[in-house]
Amino acid sequence: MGVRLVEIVERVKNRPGGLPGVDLARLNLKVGKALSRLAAVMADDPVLVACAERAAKEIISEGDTQ
Amino acid sequence: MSAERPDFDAGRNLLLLGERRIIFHCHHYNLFLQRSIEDGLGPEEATRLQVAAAMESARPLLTKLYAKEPELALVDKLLLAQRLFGSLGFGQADCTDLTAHGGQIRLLTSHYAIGWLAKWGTASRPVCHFPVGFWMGALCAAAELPPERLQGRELSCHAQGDARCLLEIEVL
Amino acid sequence: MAIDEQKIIEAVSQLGISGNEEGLIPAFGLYLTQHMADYYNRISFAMAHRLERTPELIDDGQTLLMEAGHGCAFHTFGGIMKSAEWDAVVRPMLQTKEDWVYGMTAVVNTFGWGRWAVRDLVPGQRLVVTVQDSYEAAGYLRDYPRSASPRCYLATGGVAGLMNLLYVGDITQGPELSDAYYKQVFRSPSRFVGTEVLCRAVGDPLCLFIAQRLP
Repeated sequence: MGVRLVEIVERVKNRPGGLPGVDLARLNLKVGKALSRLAAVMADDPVLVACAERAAKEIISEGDTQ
Repeated sequence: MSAERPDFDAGRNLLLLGERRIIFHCHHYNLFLQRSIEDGLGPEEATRLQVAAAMESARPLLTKLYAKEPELALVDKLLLAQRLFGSLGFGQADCTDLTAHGGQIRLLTSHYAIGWLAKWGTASRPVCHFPVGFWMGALCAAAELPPERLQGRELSCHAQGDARCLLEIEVL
Repeated sequence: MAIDEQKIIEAVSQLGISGNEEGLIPAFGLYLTQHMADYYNRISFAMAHRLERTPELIDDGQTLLMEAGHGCAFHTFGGIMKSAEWDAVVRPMLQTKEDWVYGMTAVVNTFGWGRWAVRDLVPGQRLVVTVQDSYEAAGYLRDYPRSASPRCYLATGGVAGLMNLLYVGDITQGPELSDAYYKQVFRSPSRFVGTEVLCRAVGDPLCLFIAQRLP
């Protein structure tokens, strides 16, 4: 369950120079689901995965938090 | 005290202008909050909310300031708004093309655009939502228009790499 | 206590901070605005209310709204505590690190945010601040029914940020307020977090905040 979603969450959480709590809150809001807490028990729905990928890419590419 | 400067109640730490509370905040706070609203609501709805909130905030404040000088013509009221916009730190605006029928406002500088660039670099979308709403509120109050008749947008934004920010207000 | 709050308020409020010929307020290493409280309140509360329709996202929204307060404290409080104005007005009154908390709180009492007061300060451990006339709580009460939860997101983050600047980082040593330093301070496992314990928006007589270290 949620293998790809978990991978996305880990990527955001571990981005270099990030603030994990802030970055994951941003991911959750952008996707509209609490992925950081629920990814492991959610199905890898293709639409949701694509949305999460877009959000993660945006968060990681934006670089520094503050 | 100038009409465009807040009055300070030192005992309660209140800054009041046009009977509305004014507070100091920096570009880090302003832009982080703006991005968070976009994260929470999505860019389109966040833009609508911020424009509407700016208009809702600016209109009554400016209505009070205009009421102190009832002899002012429309152009003078808009120039007062222009001075206020600058004295509050939002940027240097040129509203000379704005009339009761709408028009454009050039921002020679914009706090939001400069702040976004300084904080995060080039923006993927226009960022001057507050200025759009501010100028809608200013025109609405100056021309005594119903707010429902106004629409506003940012045509070009310095934060996206354009030389200047250009706002447009349409009166329906 | 060596801090003369009235003297600080008088001096800072008379600086005449206002837009320059470019309509900007560059000060303390950042750009300031004298902004409209109504604007902040509407956009913050509208987002919070929207997220409250999806309970699993409430905490994430609050995290970001309070993070905005952390950044505000780090950059604005930090920038002020490194400024020539601080050196001229406040620094002569400072004898201990704790005085920096009282000095900065006095400066905050010129921002229009409502009246901040330190109720308790345990050096390096805990800060309790009360706020009368919080613009967030006052704005909430004006426009919405009584809240079921505290609403002063900026102040919650700000109180924690002040403690982090002093006791996780060390602003008294004049560090560069860089992104790297921000991460160092706000990723620390011993960083301070803020909690709003009382809030006028929920019916309390004033707002009260506690900043203490992560358990």
